[in-house]
Amino acid sequence: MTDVFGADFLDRLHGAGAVQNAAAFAALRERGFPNRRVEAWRYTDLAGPLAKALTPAGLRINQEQSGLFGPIPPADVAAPAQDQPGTDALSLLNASLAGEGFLFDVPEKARLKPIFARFSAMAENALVNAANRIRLAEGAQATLVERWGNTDDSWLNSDTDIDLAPGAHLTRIILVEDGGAGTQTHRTSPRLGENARYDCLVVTLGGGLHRIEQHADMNAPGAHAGLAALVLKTGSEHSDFVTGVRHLDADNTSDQQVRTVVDQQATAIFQGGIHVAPDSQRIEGDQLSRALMLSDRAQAFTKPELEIFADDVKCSHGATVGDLSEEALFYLRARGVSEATARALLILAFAREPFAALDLPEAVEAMLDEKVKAWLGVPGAFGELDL
Amino acid sequence: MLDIKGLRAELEDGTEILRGIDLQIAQGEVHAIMGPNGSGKSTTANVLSGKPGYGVTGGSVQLDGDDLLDMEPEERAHSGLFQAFQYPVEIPGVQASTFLQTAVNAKRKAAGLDELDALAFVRELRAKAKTLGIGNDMLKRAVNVGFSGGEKKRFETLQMALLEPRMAVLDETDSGLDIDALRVVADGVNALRSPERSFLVITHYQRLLDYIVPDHVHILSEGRIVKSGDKSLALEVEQAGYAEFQAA
Repeated sequence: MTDVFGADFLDRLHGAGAVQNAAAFAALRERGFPNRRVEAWRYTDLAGPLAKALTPAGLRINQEQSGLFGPIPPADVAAPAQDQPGTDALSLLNASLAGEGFLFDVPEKARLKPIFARFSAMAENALVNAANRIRLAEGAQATLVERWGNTDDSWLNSDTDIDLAPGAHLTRIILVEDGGAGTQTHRTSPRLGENARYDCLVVTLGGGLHRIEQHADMNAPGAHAGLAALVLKTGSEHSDFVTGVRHLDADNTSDQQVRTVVDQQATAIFQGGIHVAPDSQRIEGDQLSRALMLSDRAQAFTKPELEIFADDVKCSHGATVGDLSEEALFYLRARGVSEATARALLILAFAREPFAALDLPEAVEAMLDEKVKAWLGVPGAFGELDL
Repeated sequence: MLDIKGLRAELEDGTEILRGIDLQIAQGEVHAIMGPNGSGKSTTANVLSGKPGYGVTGGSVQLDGDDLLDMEPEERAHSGLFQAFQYPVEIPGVQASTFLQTAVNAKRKAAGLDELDALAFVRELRAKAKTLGIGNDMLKRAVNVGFSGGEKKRFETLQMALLEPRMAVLDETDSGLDIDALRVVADGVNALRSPERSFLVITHYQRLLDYIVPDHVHILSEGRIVKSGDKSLALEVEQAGYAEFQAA
């Protein structure tokens, strides 16, 4: 066997008897993990997590009772995605260890209250693989709030397959939060039918290495995908947010909004992809990445990748990197607000942009608000007044 | 109250703007500074409040005996200085009411007072906003975002009413206002006049001084006060223009 990247890691898994799906494992052993020479992985090095001694373990799911949400029956697990170059190794890893995740199955025209679910490893310093599935039948509407996190070195690796039938609307919040130096790699592949809508906000906080991917297929007219991310990173934390929207039919839209705040020597990457297939006319695809650098040693990278093969298309992309507005800071200070408080207030306003734009239930917005405030070290501050 | 002696200041590129300003404002007095464009009017206001981008090269400023120039902008505000800005800054995402509460409580905290709770603050905010014709709708919007010129100046006046400064500097408060908006703002300012509170009103036009009547008027030209007098000096300038004060 050739000595592929991550061979030792795979040998350890094999030796521990963890492999459940021999075919998937053989395919992974053959190709290995993507190294930084693979374009999609040029900013993110898996060497760190692959060097850790992790024990395979199951996924712990805590959620409010709902007949529509629960552990996924093995028969419902989707086959690993094979068509995303460079990213499929992690899906093969997931399949090799036969990770079982959740199934969220919403029937036709259902209107659900928000569902909150928490995911963590069942053991310490574990390697957890989860294959999840979300299905919204025609006209269904649901909000799912997922919180993924651990407090140790565990690695949570998941694939979420999403099918949105015509007219279905899924609002999904993925809060990726680690108390320790853990790793999280999550991939989502939504397929959108006619007039379906997928609004997803990823919030990533803490952790060692987080790489969240969203690969949306716009399969019919009238569909809309809103992919947003709020990336808050400090210390030596690393975040790689990857999108790939494929407009495979005409007359649909997508919007990508990324807000990044990096402090100390943290690194945040946004790789934003828009692909418009030939004959997919009248597409609108927008992308905006704004990053706040709070330290000279922090790094933010933005890499827009637009591949447009149709001619009647409106696509835009923009990226800004900077510090807080000096003028706004002074205005606040001139009113007696301390510099630290003024900065917190301005960063909070910036960080709220991705979720203030979504029509979120109050409880969800309040939860996200508090997450940002806690990150800024001002928990409970700046409460909204009841006028 | 405010004692400015020989104040000199320059821009970051070294251009000297203030060339030795001397001005004393006693408690309860209203002074006006008038002057042509580029005379240093806004620079004077900005140097007093500690806006970045200026270098003080000489002189001193004391507020009730404390060295103002040695303080951070927020400390100047805590000492009772307030600048109503010519161009109030838009702050997207920060709700006006949250901003006001944060500012009021920061000042109270600095004075050793308890912070106002939401209920007490809203009561005070509503009362003061009402007199300036500011409704809940405006208070729910982001600070100065989408505000008309008149709304911005009324919002500055509301901040002044809530923060109750001892020394208020109004920088071109009349700019961008029609006559009705000017009246509302001037009424708001006049309601705050008291024997304890002093004002420095900076303006290009005499018009504002019909509404906010000053005790003293100073003409600023090329970074110096070149003439001082009572309110009749403003009328004189209105008639004759600034030409006689400017170097040929």
